Amino acid sequence: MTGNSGFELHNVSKRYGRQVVLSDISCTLPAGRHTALLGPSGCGKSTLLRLLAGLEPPDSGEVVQGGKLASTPEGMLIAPHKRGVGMVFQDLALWPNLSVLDNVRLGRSVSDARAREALAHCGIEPLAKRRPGELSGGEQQRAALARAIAAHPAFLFLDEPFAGLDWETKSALLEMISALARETGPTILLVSHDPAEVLALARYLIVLETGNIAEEGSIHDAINQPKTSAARHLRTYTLGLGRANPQEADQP
Amino acid sequence: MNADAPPIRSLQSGPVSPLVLEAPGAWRGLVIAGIFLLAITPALPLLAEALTSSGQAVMSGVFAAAVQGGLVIGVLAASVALVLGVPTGVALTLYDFPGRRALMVVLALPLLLPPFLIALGWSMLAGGGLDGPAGPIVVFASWILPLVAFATYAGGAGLSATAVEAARLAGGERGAIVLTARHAFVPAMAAAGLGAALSIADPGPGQVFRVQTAASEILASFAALGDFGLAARQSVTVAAIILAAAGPLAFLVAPRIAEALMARETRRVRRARMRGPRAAAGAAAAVMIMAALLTPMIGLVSPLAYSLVEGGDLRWLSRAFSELLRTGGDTLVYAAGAGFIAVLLGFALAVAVGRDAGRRRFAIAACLFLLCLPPALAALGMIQLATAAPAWADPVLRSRFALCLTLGLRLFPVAALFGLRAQATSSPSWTHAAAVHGVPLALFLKRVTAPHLAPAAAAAFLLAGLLAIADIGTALLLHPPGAASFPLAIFTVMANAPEAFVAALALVYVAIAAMLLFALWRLVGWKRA
Repeated sequence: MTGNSGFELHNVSKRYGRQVVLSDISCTLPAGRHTALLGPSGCGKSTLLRLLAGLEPPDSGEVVQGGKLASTPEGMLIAPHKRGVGMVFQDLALWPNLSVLDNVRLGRSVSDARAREALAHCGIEPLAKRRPGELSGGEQQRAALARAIAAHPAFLFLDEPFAGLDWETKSALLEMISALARETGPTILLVSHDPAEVLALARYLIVLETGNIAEEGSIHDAINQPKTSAARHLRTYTLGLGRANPQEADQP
Repeated sequence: MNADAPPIRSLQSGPVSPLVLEAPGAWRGLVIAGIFLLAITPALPLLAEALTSSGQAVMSGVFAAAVQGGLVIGVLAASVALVLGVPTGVALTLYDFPGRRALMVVLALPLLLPPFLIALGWSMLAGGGLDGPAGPIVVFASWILPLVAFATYAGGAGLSATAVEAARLAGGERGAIVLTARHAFVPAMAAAGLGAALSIADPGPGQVFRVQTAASEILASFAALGDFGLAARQSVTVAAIILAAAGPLAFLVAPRIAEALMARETRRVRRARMRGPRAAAGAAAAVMIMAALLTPMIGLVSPLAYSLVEGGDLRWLSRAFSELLRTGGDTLVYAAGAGFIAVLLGFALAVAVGRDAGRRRFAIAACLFLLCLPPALAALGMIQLATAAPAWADPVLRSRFALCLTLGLRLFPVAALFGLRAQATSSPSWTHAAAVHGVPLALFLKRVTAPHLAPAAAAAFLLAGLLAIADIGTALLLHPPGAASFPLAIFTVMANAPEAFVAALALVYVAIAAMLLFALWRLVGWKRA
């Protein structure tokens, strides 16, 4: 495990051109608390994830990790690969000219043995020599996940990683990530629109709306007393599943 | 990544992150400005000479008539190519028919031949029947036609499969054809405009059909009259006229081309296999190819065939191969040198442009602008530089390298388009994934970026090399004594040598160009067509 400290955002703002994506956000993401980031498209979920990962600096405010300043508008004080983060990108970002095994072991501090262990964990070791273009959608997701977990990160960032997958593949992957979170313990930060994914992987949620935090708290509280349409959607989904007692939603 | 964002820099010391490849930075603007400045550097001394020298007025008498005639020829040839090339490109986009891929390879061949070779073919076939402006119009139309057809094809390929299917449902085949033609019309217009601009600057066909053109007048002023100042003023005048016409067009079509270069996550158009339209499309494409390539080829073959039938010996072919052996080494040096310089600058430009839409549009417009410039401008400028430079600079400025450099600078916009396209097909999240997972910049460049760009770079190298050796105007002015390229050797002997020998030389050239074109096609993806 690389590091074990949570993130804090202090008055963070970010804009693209004239569009303000995040506006004066402050929140805490402690280690061990699996969190879902919810909200409508374009509300800043992925941007928040990228700020935490160190892929972009904030325009104002600070990102703090483990009590140390990680990013400021002036630049990065902790490089992305030193934040103990593994990330599955929305488009998976697999390098197309490398084999699955090379995709996993190209990263720093990933030995051949660790790469094979990650592939085995994700159930795709037999596909190690194939290139991403030769894999199905579900296999590509597994390859991206293997790359993300190979260095045993403290945080696993998942940016809508299951979009476009059929239900069967998606539930197999959800089950696998849940098991991974239980066994090796990376803290999951999930960006998703799908209530099923949120309920399967997270215990805490942050709802973003027009660049601001509109709701924050445990999933249990959000389902019982929803304040935003995203939480209401989660409640409707939970009730539709027949969970009379939304307490069940508290279990990842 | 946002262009307005501050540069990502690590305040910690350590290896450079791959994120610098996606981050904005002043270096991008500096590299872009530096490359374009380098590209116009050879023309600057000529511009200075044209502005300071005095003498005979440029736009009068024979030269004015030649410029006017060249403009008429260029516009008419481009119009004919547009009328024939757009339907050909639409047919290739929408319909599948037997031999379609092979037809596309053959259709590309005229682009890689110096227009004077096509002119020779038509001239040998028609005797004196095409002397006068009709000959160059036919030659340039058949040379520009593939350019327009491929631009239409590339433009049409940008449509999604569902858009074409919706047009078919709404308006049948007519609907699909109209949609594709409208979508591809801007790139087709740009291709026709570029072809017209290049035709005005080409001396070959005019010489074959005994028409005075601006390009041949410039050569005559320099080589026959020895009046460098006059040649400079003439070159700058031609460049100004071309740029006045093509410049606004370049900036107008650049956004559309920039959009077409971007990779899309859409399903590509599925080519229809309906019997009627398929047969019509196949026949139309075959007729176009016949007109553009096979007819002049028949003209080129005929004197050699007569010679073989009458004499029964292969001496002309044998002499042609001897000529190829004599000039082949230099030809390869020019092609490889120009290709290397073009790829180096073109891909450096693509990397510097990055993913910023504004920079991409500017770079494409500037590239089209540069491509329209007459080759004589840079070549005469290089001569001027060599004349003014001290003797120790001769190995650089009066050598094979000078020709390679001039050709490379002229053709780097072609490589830049390949580079921009290759870069647009990569995802910024590749770099982000590398940064998060701790892949060092050097390793990322070596294992991910370079292999991704390599096929496009190889294709650009081959294409720039082929176009470089087809550019006889520059080679004629800059080649060192005794180091002519193979096409230049054909150009210099064509007026006085026996027709059968010229035909044999031309056929050898066509065969080599066809082989290299086939290699290029394999490289960029035969199946993707």
